[in-house]
Formats: sequence, structure tokens, C-alpha cells
Amino acid sequence: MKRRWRDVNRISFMIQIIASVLILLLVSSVLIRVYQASINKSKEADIITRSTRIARISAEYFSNRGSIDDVISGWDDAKKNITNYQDSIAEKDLLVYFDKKGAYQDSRFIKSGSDIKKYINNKNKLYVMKISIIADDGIGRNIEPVGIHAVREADFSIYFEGKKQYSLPCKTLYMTGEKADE
Amino acid sequence: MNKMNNKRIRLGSILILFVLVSVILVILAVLGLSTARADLVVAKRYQNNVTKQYEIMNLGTEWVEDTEKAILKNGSESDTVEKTITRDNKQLEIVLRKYSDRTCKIEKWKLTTIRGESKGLDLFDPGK
Repeated sequence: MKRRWRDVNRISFMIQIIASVLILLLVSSVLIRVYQASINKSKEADIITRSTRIARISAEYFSNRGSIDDVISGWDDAKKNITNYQDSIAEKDLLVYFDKKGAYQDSRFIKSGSDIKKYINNKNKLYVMKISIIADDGIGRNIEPVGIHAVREADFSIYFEGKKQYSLPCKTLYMTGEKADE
Repeated sequence: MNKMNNKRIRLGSILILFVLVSVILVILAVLGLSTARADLVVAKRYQNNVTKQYEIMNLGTEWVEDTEKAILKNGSESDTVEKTITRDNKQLEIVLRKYSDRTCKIEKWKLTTIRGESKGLDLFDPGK
């Protein structure tokens, strides 16, 4: 009788242990999946926000509407590069590099239309913005009549880890020669 | 029989602790997931908003370019030409003024977001 009870107890204990381990595995696998999904969604949201912010601020600099807050927060150099680009020729694209937090690193010109993957070799430069000039009426040229609005058009494409994330086409007006109210 | 009962391993407190920790972890995981999803929705909305803003501004730029050329070439009946472009929930109002035969000036360039009616609960009218 004693032995039978001992056997029953042992079997019951084993079943409890196995059930506990299975429940533990199930719960932990579900938790891991949920946490993984949260991390992926957070990362995706972060990439979208940073890509959009980089493109928007660059487009604002391009059309000379950059806000002072953005300049203070570290976009001073980026502004110089992007605004200087207005005088460059349309056969070149400008690559602007940013780190994982979206802070400006450096920039360089590449031949228009070339594959940017070969220009991404530094792991610290995760975001790359390619600025392509589409139309450039009146920049550094003498357009007649003086004082009309010429159109400058550019495309701001943001790449994260070599993959294109976002593209923002921007058209801006440029007053040729003297301004109308001068 | 009593001896046998004394030999049983008591898992009650460990089980309660395990269940409690599991429930807390599940709650935290669900909260984390819902926060991440909300962040993603906000990020997509922000991107969509910026895209639409630039779309309507690009349309406005095109209109100014075309209208200015037409005014300077053919002239216009009045000194000012107005245009309102509406796209989704965004509205761009432009006023272009002719100053001379060679010059036009943008007098107004106002981009506004049209707010829709609130779909929130009306606390003062429970019947709604």
C-alpha cells in the first residue's frame, strides 16, 4: 500500500514538473515573440520618424525655410552643405550621411544616377540621404526677365542600411535677380 | 499515510510566484506592444502628413510658375490672381500680384490643415 502511494506521488510530481516546464516554455516563447514584435515595431517607427525628419528639414533648408530650432539641434553643417548645393551642377547627386540618431556626419558628391551602395561602408553612418536635382531654373544663370519666380526641384531620398526608406520631392520658387519689392 | 503526505514536495508558493511573474511579464509585454504599435501609427501619420504637405506645396509652386508666365506674357484683367488648392485635409491659399510688366509677387502663401468634426463622446448628451 505504502509503495503504491509512493509511486502515485512520484508520477504526480513528474507530471507537475513536465507540465510546469511546458507552460514555462509556452509562456516564454509567447513573451519572446511579443517583445520581439514590440522591438521591431519600435524600430520601424523610429526609422520612419528619423527618415521623414531628415528629408523634411533638408527640404526646408533647400527652400530656405529651415527653422532655428533645427539649426540649434545640430543641423548647422547640414544646412551649409544643402544650401551650398544650390550652386552645384545637376549632373551630380549629393550624399549626406547621418548616424543612427539622425545626427549629421558628413557629405560628398557622387555622379548622378550611380548606385549608392558602394558609398555606404561605414557602420556609423546608418542614414544616407541622396539629393538629386531634377530642375534647376535660374540658379547661377541669367534668366530674363529678372524678378520672376524660377522653379528649383529636388528629390530627397533617405536610405537606412542601404535600403530606401522614404522619398520626398520638393519644388521651390526662386526669385531671379532683384526681388520684386526692392 | 501521514508519513507519505509529509514527503510530498510543496509547490504551491512557487507556483503562485511563477504565475504572478508570468502575469506581470505578459501585462508588460502587451503594454510594450501596444505602445510600439501606437508609435508606429503616429510615425506613419507624421510621414503621411509631411508627404501631403509637400505635394500640395509642389502643386502651388507649379501654379505660380504657370500663372506668372501667363500673366507676364498675356497680361491679366486684375492685378491679383487668387488660387485655393485643396488636397485631403490640407488647403493652400495663394495670391499672386502683378507689379509691373516684368514682376509678380506672391502676396499670400497660406497652408492650413482642415480639421474634421470630433468623433469623441459627447458627455453632455448620453443619447448620442
